[in-house]
Amino acid sequence: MLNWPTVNSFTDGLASITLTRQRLIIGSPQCVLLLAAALILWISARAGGEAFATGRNQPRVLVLYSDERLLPANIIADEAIRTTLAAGIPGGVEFHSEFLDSARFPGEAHELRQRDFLRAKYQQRPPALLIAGGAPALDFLVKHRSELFRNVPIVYCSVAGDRPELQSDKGIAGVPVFTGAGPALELALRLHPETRQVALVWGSGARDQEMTARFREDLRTFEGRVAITVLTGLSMGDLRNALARLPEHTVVLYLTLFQDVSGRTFTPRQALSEFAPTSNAPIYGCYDTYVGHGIVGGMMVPFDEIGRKAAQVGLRILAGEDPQTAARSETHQPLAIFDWQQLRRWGIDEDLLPPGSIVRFKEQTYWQKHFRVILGAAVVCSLEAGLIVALLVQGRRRHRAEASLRESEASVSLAAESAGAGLWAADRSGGNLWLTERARELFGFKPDEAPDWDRLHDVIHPADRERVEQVARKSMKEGKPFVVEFRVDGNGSGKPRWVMSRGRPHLGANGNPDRLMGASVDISERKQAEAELNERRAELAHLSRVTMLGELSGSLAHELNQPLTAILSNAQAAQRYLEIETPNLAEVREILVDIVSEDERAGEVIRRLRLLLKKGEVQQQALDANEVAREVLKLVRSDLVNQGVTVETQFAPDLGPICGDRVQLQQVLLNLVMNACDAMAGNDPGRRRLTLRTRAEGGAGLRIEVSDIGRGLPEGGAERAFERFFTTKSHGLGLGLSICRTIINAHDGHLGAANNPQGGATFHCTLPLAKVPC
Amino acid sequence: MNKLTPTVFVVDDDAAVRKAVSRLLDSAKISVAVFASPTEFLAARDADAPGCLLLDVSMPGINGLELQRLLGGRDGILPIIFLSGHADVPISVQAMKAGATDFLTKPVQDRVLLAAVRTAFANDHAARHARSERAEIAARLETLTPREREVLDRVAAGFLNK
Repeated sequence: MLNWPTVNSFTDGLASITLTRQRLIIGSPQCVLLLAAALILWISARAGGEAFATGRNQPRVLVLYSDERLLPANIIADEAIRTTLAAGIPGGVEFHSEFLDSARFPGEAHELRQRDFLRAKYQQRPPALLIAGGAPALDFLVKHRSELFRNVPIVYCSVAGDRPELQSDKGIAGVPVFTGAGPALELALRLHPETRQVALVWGSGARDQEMTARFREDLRTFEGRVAITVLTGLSMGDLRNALARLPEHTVVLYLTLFQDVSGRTFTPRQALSEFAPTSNAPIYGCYDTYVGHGIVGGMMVPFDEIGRKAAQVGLRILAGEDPQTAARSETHQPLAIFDWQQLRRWGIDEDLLPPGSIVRFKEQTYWQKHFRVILGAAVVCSLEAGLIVALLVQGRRRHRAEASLRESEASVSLAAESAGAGLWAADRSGGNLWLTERARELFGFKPDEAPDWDRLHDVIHPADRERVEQVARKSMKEGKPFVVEFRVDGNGSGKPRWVMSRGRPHLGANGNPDRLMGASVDISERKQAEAELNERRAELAHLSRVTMLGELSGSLAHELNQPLTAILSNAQAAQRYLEIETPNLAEVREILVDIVSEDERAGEVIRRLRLLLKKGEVQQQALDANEVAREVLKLVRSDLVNQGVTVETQFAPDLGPICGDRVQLQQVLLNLVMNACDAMAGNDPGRRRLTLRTRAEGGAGLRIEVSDIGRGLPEGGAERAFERFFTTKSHGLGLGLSICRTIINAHDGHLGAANNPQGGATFHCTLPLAKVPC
Repeated sequence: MNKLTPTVFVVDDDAAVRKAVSRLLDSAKISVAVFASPTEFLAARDADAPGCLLLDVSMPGINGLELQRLLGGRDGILPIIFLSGHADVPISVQAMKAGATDFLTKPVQDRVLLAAVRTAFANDHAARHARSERAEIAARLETLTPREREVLDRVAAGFLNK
């Protein structure tokens, strides 16, 4: 910036101006005039009265800038001044900015126009404080102050060096900026020790001349240390070319370029941006607005700080402080400021920078740039990772648990499959029926079928349904396991299969059984074997019966002969009666009645005989034990008579029914009676007495006894008598008693024998009373 | 019943058979008396009554063969016709040896039964006649002096009465 005559003293409105010629770089007559004008202005302002504040007690502040509005330095400073002032005064300030634009509009004519304009503009709104941005603005204000803003204090900023000539005016003060080309070049040489040449760049405009005058002065001290080349009076194109062709070990020092030789105007920063890229040497500068636009760096005071400090001085003045005292409270400390990009471009080690250096535009490492994001992301990631790990661990555990469950399920299934068992589970409502494949197969379900209770109900053989359901219901109700055998209608195959199901109720959450689960196996083969065994047993029993009846044939013939004899004789008698002339028809009628009766008697014998000879299926029915015993006695009656055996019966009345097969039970008694007769065959004819007894046994059974007074049981006791093929008869097979025992066992009864104390033996047979239904 | 009218004494434990047989005999105008057991017959028996015994073999208590044995030891035995439910050869042989008139098997044809009864009646009649002749002779012999009896014996032995 421009060195300028400074007011040295201030005495009662009249100033004696001492021009310090040594420091005056531009000594034009206009300057003198300007100064004079400023002085007059100031005096007139003082004379014009006090009108600093606005009507609303908002102090009015006018900032006058030397250059255009868009000069980066102005924009930065303006912002700093405005915010500082606003912050310092509670009610705020009325803020005005004006721009002389002296670089583009040099000359007195413009200056006067500006003066007139400002006078006209602010006549009715005089400011309470003036701030001058840059030397031309300060000079203008000093020159026209008396006319425009009499006695309004001036704070200047962005003015290089001290202005001793202004110290006389106590209304003018500023924070001087002691920076220039010297410190910047000093810095450059320190960072580039091999520098042999310094290229100075500045523009061709009047403002450039003004601005650089003082710097050029500074540079004289470097003469002899390095060669100095000046690149000025060039067009932008030529400058670019010149910079591109600089010799090795050169540094460039850029001052300002407001205008090139062709008359093209720039803001200095704009010009830097154009030529800097072509430069083959590092560029240094003195203004922080250049940082980031092509200079490596330099010693400088940032414009925001300049603005802020000026505003702070202004605030003190507005508060009533003496301007110069206020200004002395602030100083500027130049800072070494660098552009990190440029440092890199020129390979300058950051460690070489002077302590306290500011490096701007440092490309932050990803970490620095996105610290929060990264940290946030890292936190999120670690949380996520933690979650994932937790999930993985859980998943793994579950996997392991599932694997072990599967294994155990597989073992169970294998065990079940090996046993041919189908597993199933059904909930209480019956809506859900889970079945293994084998179970489906057992119940005849199709693979794609989703069966429920009802469907299961359907496949159970109709005769078994109610029983199965009763068992299942009871198990659920009592919470006890069950076993049930039932038939399942084959899936269309027609032949029902036998299935045995074992199940147990499963307790639900409320402690009550809510499910039945169990296993079912096909027992058709066992049932088949059982059926075959029963068939064999029945066949054997039949064989035994036939044999027995063979023994009884004489007796049976007699039984049949009796009615036949009666019939024949009756019939022949009737014939004879009818031959008489007056037959006794009443007699004949009586005879016919008897014939019918005897015929029935014969039929009965035959029926009884046929029943015993019949080889039929075992039929369970409710039976009266006494009646069974009587029937047997009828069958053997003749035989007993023939053998001279007398029979005594002791039948208990009111015995409950037993459940069994009539024929098989008759067979047993018949056998016992015949054995008893045989046992007494050796007795004297008068000592052959057989007793047939029935009586209740406990609460739920009865006992049938056949006693004789014969030779007693064979040696070896009762059990020997029941052995197969054991016989005491010459004509016996020895199967009778063993078959009898099998029959009684099949009736859930017991057949035993013991010798009587008075001689002879008693065979007894106990049978359970029938449950309802049989 | 005339004491001189021969009667069939039926002994059978089977009431129906008893009744039917007695009807048949009645239809042939033969006098019949029925007994449910040998014991009953023995109790009611009139030893002089002519006729025959129609006896069932198989009966509780005393059976037919036993009754025959019991009667065999007495005078004036009635001819016995056995009527058996089964044609048991040893029994029939035993019965015939013991003097049974006939051994019939049930069911029996009327002519067979009636023929047997008539034969028995004839036998009984002949036996009774012989018995009465013998009794007359015996009575006449009783009239002889011991010496006359001696002579008779010698004459019967083929000696001359001179």
